Amino acid sequence: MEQIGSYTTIFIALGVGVFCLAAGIFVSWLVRPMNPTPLKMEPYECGEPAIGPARVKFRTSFYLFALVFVIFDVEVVFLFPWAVVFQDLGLFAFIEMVIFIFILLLGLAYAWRKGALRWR
Amino acid sequence: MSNWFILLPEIILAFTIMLVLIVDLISTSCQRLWLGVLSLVGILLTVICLWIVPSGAFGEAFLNDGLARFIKSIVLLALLLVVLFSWDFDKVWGRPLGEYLVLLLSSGLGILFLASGTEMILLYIGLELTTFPLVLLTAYCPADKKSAEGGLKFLVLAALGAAVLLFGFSLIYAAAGTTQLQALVPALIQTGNTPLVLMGLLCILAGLGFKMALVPFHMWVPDAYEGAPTAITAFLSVAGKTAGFVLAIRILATGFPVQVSEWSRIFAVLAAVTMCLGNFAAIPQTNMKRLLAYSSIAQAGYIVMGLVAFQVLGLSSILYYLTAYLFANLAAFGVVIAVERSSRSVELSAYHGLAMRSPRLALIMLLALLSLAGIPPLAGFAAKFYLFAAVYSEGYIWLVVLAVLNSALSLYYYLKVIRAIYIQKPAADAVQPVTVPLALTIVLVVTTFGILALGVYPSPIVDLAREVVVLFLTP
Repeated sequence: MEQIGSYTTIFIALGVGVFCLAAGIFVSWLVRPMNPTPLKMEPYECGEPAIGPARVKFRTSFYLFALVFVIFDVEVVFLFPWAVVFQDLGLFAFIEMVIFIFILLLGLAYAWRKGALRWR
Repeated sequence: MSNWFILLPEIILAFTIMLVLIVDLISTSCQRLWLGVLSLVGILLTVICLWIVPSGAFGEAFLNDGLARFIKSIVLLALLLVVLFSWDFDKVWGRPLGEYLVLLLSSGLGILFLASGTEMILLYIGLELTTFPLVLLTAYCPADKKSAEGGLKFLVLAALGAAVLLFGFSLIYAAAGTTQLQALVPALIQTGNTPLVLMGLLCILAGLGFKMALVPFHMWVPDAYEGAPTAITAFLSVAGKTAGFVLAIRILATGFPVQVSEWSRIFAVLAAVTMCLGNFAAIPQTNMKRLLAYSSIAQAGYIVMGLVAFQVLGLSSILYYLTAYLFANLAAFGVVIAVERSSRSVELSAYHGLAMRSPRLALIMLLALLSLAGIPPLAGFAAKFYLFAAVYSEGYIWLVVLAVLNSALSLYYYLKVIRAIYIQKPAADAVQPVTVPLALTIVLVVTTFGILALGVYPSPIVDLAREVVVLFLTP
């Protein structure tokens, strides 16, 4: 029962929040002057006008960089929990992680050697 | 600390992969012989280690038992022979050998984990490790449009299959609250066959169907097999299929023995449809790789019958069938590779009059195809005999009748190839004998020996398979 009560608080807070937002938008819609001009329909009232479509072509070289980046992204994901419990795990986990990083570094060295990091 | 020793074969193979990668990094192009030698030595060490390492479990996720050892031996043998197939891959296909071997061995490593996994997450990771290198290898010759097309189709459908399988796992986890296969059994008895469990099981069966290439999920097979470099096609057809079946045995026998009546009925229907469609679709093919692809679909249909007859006899005949299929299929693909090297063609017309040009190659193809069709005294006959006997003793008589009829049907297109080899005249410009390099000769000799030995004297492997399965099924 207690748990349900605490959830009720959250839901009330949520409801009040949504109400405040909606009420603000509604009131401003009610009291604002209605005077549309074409200029106001532009995406930006100030700054550069848009040139060309938003979909541009990216170089495929980005793809290789992104892949190499992912390797180290994943490495950090594993390193973080390992570092948190490092004190309890001891030498064995240290060696495990060294092997893991070695494998990842091997991948980087391979990509480097095969020219994946060269901008073409 | 857990018993690391049990993981030794996998560790050795992983170490080999890294070593091959390093040697490929630092070596110049003339030292590429070392890559192949290193891979072979690594695989051989893994095999030796496999039989030294004691049986046992590593944590709750990894189990090295007789079944795992049997399947791993099959897969490592296939890996060994395929490495020999690709001995001068870089010369023939003009693509780097180092990455090729690394991907091939990684895929093999994935199958080793599939054979031993007793936990759904480990099995899933093993499946991904098996599939994605194979996708890359299928698309390994991007200049060849067929290779790229086959690779893309394989990628999309493999991802779909894996997603369905994973969804099934997640539903089962939602019902049972565990991903450990042995722990599933009591948990699922407690929940009973709720719609959630049945839906999860159905998704798992569909995912397994993709992997085993059963009929509604077989669409990727012909294109991937045709597009892949031929050595990879051989590996896909043998080791890929073995991986699918061992995954099915592991998941269903360990996790879902209680629901056996549900899934064995589904498999009976799938087996019937698969073998019929595989055989009928193989008849009009004139491309040898496509023909063997459809033939392998039909063979998968036969092997699934062993899952229908889910007893000691059924499972042990799956193991025996996989062994016989390994030798016959690799022998057939060996001849395909030899002919492809000399004529740059995998069309049936390249085989016209092969018997006159290279009688020994022709004889090996004859033996391989007759073994696939199940003619005594070759390995395929003994395998089919045990399998059909197992299904018959479980009471699926209609399925056995259908399978026998299908075997007769399959003989038609196997004989079509044999007719091209033995009766038709060779083309005027193709009269030279086909040259076979040493590595390929070794494979052909080993596989031919296997076809004959398993056919004439099947009892050692049959006994081993039975012993392994009895140990596997008694908890």
